[in-house]
Formats: sequence, structure tokens, C-alpha cells
Amino acid sequence: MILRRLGALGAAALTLVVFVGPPAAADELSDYLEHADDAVYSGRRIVFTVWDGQSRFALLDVEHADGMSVVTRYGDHVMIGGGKIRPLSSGDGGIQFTQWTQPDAIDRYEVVVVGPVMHAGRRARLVEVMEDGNLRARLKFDQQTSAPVVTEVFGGSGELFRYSAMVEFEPSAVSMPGEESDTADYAVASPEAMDLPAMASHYQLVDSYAAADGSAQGFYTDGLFSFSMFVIDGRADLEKMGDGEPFMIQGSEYRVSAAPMELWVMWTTGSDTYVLVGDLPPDHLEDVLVDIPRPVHRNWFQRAWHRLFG
Amino acid sequence: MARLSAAAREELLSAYLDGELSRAETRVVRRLLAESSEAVTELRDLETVRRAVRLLPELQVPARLLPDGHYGDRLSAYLDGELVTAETRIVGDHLSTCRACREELHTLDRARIAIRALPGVEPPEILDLRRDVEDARRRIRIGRMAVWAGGVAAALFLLMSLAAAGRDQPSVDLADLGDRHVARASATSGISILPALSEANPP
Repeated sequence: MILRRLGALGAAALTLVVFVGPPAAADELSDYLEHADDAVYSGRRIVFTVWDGQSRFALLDVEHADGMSVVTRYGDHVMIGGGKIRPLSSGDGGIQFTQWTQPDAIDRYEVVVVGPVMHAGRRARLVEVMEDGNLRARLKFDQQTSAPVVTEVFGGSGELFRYSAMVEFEPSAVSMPGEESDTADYAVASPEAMDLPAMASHYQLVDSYAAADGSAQGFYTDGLFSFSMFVIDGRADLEKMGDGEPFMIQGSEYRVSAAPMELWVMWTTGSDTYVLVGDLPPDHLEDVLVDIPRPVHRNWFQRAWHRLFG
Repeated sequence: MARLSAAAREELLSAYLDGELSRAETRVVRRLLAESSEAVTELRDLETVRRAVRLLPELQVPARLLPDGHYGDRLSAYLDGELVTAETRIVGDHLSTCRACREELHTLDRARIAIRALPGVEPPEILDLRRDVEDARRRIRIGRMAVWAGGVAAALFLLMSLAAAGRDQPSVDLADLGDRHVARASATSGISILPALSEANPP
């Protein structure tokens, strides 16, 4: 195991003062992630995603405390965390999930604590996440705060898929709204049994919700990555949805839009519109799409028939 | 030679020109011409007249103007009423006096009545005409069918348009879906604890 890890690190790793510990228990990944969620920090984060040979960038101002983040998005401050999201500047209402189910213990990924490293002049801990012996993600956690200062996610062929790093970092947050000030009206979403696949590849459906507009949301996770699959009644005009481009996946044509922090996949079946959004890597995405309803493309006559008679 | 009268001399000279004299009469005419310059002048005048007559166009006398002429070739037109008024009157007058033409006219009339009474016997040109009429009718039927098909298609298109207008496509707010995903993901520990925001439809 040690030799395999050394091989994956390469020669550069040999120049570091490397602490190679025994493979951590599977739930240690959860520990790292939970500690990161509890961290208090602020700064500026750069994030980009590489899709289809092109990269999409975003630069975000972030403050994080008490499991909540305030992120500056398009000039607006948005509060995220604890199952809710709310824009702060506009005063608009937000969305709140009041109940959720914790996923099963993570047993798919093997966590390797590589050891202490430096990031932005601060001591950090480098953790590698292995999947079937391949490097899936590399995380750097600030040693003082446990904040995730660098995240790298790799595709199935070892290519870099997403990179996120704090380029400015402060171990404190100064403008977090207090819980008592959060009196906004939230659209509350409660779990509701929906007709959705219980599993999609290795992703587990942990909760499903019905929105006021009749659409269904299934939330899937494998403990590290997650996505939501929305099922909307009726066939929407995909060309009017976002800036997705036609993309062939497993022999079917979808419309895919890559954002700096997630992928969007849109398609229609015989009578429904599907939207999948999440942070899962591209090879996982392909495996997931095989297990859920696939696109159905209608010819002219079929479109006319369904328009007339439903 | 006894002196001839003027008429006898003209008749003798005319017969001489026609070569109709006997040998003895010919010797008499030649002796006359040798003795009388008047006879020579008269002979030359006769020759000039005959030459001029020969140069005149030959006259064709209509058969109906002949005493025994009939109107066989005009009887059919007479039956069909195709003669001009003057001819109709002439043929009618002739029929009143000519038994042969009346019988021919009756024969012609009976033959025509018999032909009209024959069932299904039509000339080939009638068949061609009927075929043309059928083709024209077929083309008209096809044209009418095309008009009907076009009308049905137009009606169907109109129905589909109305149906499409009445059956709204779902309105999908990707920004809302992104917020719902991020909010839900923030409740579960994962790599999503990193501040990530969906960016569908960025402004």
C-alpha cells in the first residue's frame, strides 16, 4: 500500500517532508469534512472546472462560520448552510430543507493522509482520496482551522476536473449574520416519497422532495460528491434552458452546461424534463446517466401527436 | 372555174385549213389561191382566227348545266343542310324534275338512318374524344383530392398550432433548481461543504 501511494505521489512528493500514516478508517473522510464544515474562516476563493477541453472560472469572497457560508455571487451576498440558502442583499426569500437523511457511511473511498504541507504561508494537511486505487481527490485542510483551503478533483483518467483554492485566507469571519437575524421567509421543502431510482450507479438516493411547481427533486450522494436530479412534468424546450450544448454520453444526446463549481445536464424523456446538477466528476456522471431514464427524441410526427393528444 | 359565192369560198377555205377536203377539192382550192389574192387574204384571216381560238382557256361546263346532269355529289350536302341558299334552291328544283336524283337522295337518307340506328358503333375519333374526357375528369378528380388534402393538412396544422399554443411547455427556472440543490447539499457533509454555488443562467 505504501509503495502504491508513493508511486502516486511521484518524485515531487519525495522532496516534501512526508508523513505517511496508515490508511485512515473509512469514516475519517467524514471527520475531515465535518470539521471543515465547523471551521471559521474568510477570504477569497478561486475555483474552476475543466469540461470538454475548456475551463470555467469563478472568484468568490467567502466567509464561513457555524456551518454557514456567506458567498458573494454576482455582487449579491448569499447565505448557505444547514439546508438553506438565502440572498442577503436583495432581501428575497430563500429555500430551506427542514429534514434530511444522513447517507450511509462512506466505504467507497480510501483516505490517505499524506502529511503536513504549506498553503499561502500556513500549515496545512494534505489528504488524498483514493477510489479503486486511483486518485480521485486531493484536499488540503488548514491545520489551525480545518478549513478546506485547496481541493482538487480528478476524472477517471487522472485528469484534473476541478480545482478550488483559497487565494486569500483569514482564520476568522467578521460579517456573518447571526441566527437571530435570520427572519426571512423560506420556501420549506420536506421529504416526500417520489418515484425516483433508489440508486444511480453507486450514488444513493437519500431524500426526495416535491416542489410547489410539481417537480420532484431527488438528492443523491456517495458521501463525497452529490447531485440533485429534478423531474419536471412536460417536455421543456432545452434550447431555451441555460447555455447547455449538445453532448453525447453513452450513446444518448444530452445538453450539458459546465459551471465553475458544478455540471448541469438536461434532457427530456417521453413526457418529462430532467435536470441533473451536481459536483460529481465526469466518469461518475456517465455511470449515473446509464441508470436513470434516458433521453427520448421525438420526430416531427411524434411531437405533433403529443401536442395534440398528450 | 365557175365563180364561187363568198359563203362557199369561206367554207371551202375553212375545210382546207382543217384538212377535210378531198383530193379534187384540194386542187380546186390551190388553183383558187394561185389566181386570187383575195382568197389568199381570206385564208390568212381564217388561220389567224383559228390560232387565237386555240390560245383561249378551255371552258369547263358544270355537269348540272348540262341537259342530262345530276347532283350526286351535292345530294349528301343537301341532306345535311350544308348547301348555300342558292345551291339549295337549284338542287331542289333539280330534284323536282329528276327521278334518278330523287331515288339517290332516298337511298342516301335510308343509309344514314340505318347507320344512326346501329348500337355501339362509333367512329374511332369518338373513342379518342371519350378518352380525353376521361383523362380530363381524372385530372379534375386528382385536383379536387389535392385541394381536399391541402385543406385537411392546413386544418391539422392549425389544430397543432392551437394545441401547441394551448399546451404550455413547462417553465424551468434553472437558478431555482441550482439553489435547491445547493441548499440541500449544504445539509450533508461532503465535498460540497466547499462554498459552491450553482451558476446556471448567470446574469
